[in-house]
Amino acid sequence: MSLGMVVIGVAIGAFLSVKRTATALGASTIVSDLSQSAAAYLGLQILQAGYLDVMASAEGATYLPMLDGFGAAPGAGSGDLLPSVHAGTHPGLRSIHGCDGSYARVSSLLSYDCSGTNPLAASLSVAYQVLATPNGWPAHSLGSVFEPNRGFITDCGAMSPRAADTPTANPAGDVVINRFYLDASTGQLMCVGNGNPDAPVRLAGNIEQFQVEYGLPLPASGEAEAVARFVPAAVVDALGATAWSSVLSVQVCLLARGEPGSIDRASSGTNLFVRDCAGRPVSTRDGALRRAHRFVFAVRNSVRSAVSLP
Amino acid sequence: MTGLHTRQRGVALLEVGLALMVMSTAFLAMAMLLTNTARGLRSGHAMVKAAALASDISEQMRANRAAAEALAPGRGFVLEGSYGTLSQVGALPTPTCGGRFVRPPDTEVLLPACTDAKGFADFSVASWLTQAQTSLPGGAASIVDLGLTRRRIVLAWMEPLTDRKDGVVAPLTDGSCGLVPTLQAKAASGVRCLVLDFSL
Repeated sequence: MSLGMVVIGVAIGAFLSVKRTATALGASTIVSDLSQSAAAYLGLQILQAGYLDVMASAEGATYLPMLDGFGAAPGAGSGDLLPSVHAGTHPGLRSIHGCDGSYARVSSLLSYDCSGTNPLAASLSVAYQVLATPNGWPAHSLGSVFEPNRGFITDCGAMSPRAADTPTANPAGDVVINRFYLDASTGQLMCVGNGNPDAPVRLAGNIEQFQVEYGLPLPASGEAEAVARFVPAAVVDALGATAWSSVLSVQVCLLARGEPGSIDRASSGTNLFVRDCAGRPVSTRDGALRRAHRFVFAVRNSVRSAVSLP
Repeated sequence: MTGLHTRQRGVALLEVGLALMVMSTAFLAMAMLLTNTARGLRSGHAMVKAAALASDISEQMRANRAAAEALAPGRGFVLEGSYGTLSQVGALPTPTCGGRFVRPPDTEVLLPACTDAKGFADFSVASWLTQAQTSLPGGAASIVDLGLTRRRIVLAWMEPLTDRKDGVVAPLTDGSCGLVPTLQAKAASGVRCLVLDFSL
């Protein structure tokens, strides 16, 4: 009888141990994978922001010449401000922009008006030129208007931005515009692209905070690039529309949450050694594991980079 | 009749003993499996985190080339030393500019804009090392100037005892943590390293 009780006790103990370990490991994996995968995609987008095919010419950088028979490339324009300032190409298009909250009109991808202030549920918009044809020719058509029937790389929703492929594309053309934001009510990191602006897609779930800050350059650092400070979007906006073209790097912070019951509930309700994106101790009252992950990505196509072109 | 009954009771005791042995072995095996699984998963997490941290500081250096290109060892982005001495977060001064900075358990401070490249490099390195320390067990890090625009990023952390080889955790490099090429500091037992060489 006693031996039987011992065996049953050990079995129950082993079962509880397995369950607890599996829950903790599962939560840790979820939290890590969520933020890593979301950050990897966001990073790829930020690295491409402002990408535009340019080449050297006597006057400076200009568009690539005609390559695929679709028509001649524009012959004017210095090109040195093109990567981040599209004023001379697509009117109103910004290669990178953000809001400390949400966009007033999320699905209007050429509207950059912000709504509300919540730096922990930020929004980020990136745009870059895409290949004109499936043959791999670089697009050469970025002039003052969109070319609605060109473009061969899909947006974040896997929808083609070309009007011929996707009637819902808006604006249609050889440019991808992806807008990222946090749906705070569901804890989902969402994206809407110009392939179908009315159909947002989910990038990741169990995300509680999405904070984006921008590295602005020193006022005068010559040709070398040097960041002065990470600031929220409102500060960049306050400096004027052209300030976005000088953003050198972007810092993204994601706070991912595991399932409830994945950690012990602390009596104090917080963990002083684990901070959220705002620097506050994370809550442990619901027993859910939370971890904030910060990532920095250098904007490859900032104006500071572009001016070094011959 | 009595003798048969006695023999039957002895058989029952033997059965219980065998059952206990089998179950104990099974429990022990399960416990070891769980332990190894947990260690492997923890090791994987540390590796993924270290890779993310290495990528992170390389991006920061590319965005701050003025500091990344020209500074001497011990300044800005270049930190050299062996695992025992390198980049201990507590030894680093708190940055005075650069943006949002928090070093648990202290409260967050919002720093003003930097006026030179080195100031922001100090901010980047301090933030990065704080992340390395808080997200990797026993985490430490170093950045080595390999000449011209080449840099080496080394992240080191204490590893649970997996992949033992001759009683020492197998490092990812040649056992030296790949720190300063001329120094070739030997990694301590139980230390695992991730080394990333890149050009600005």
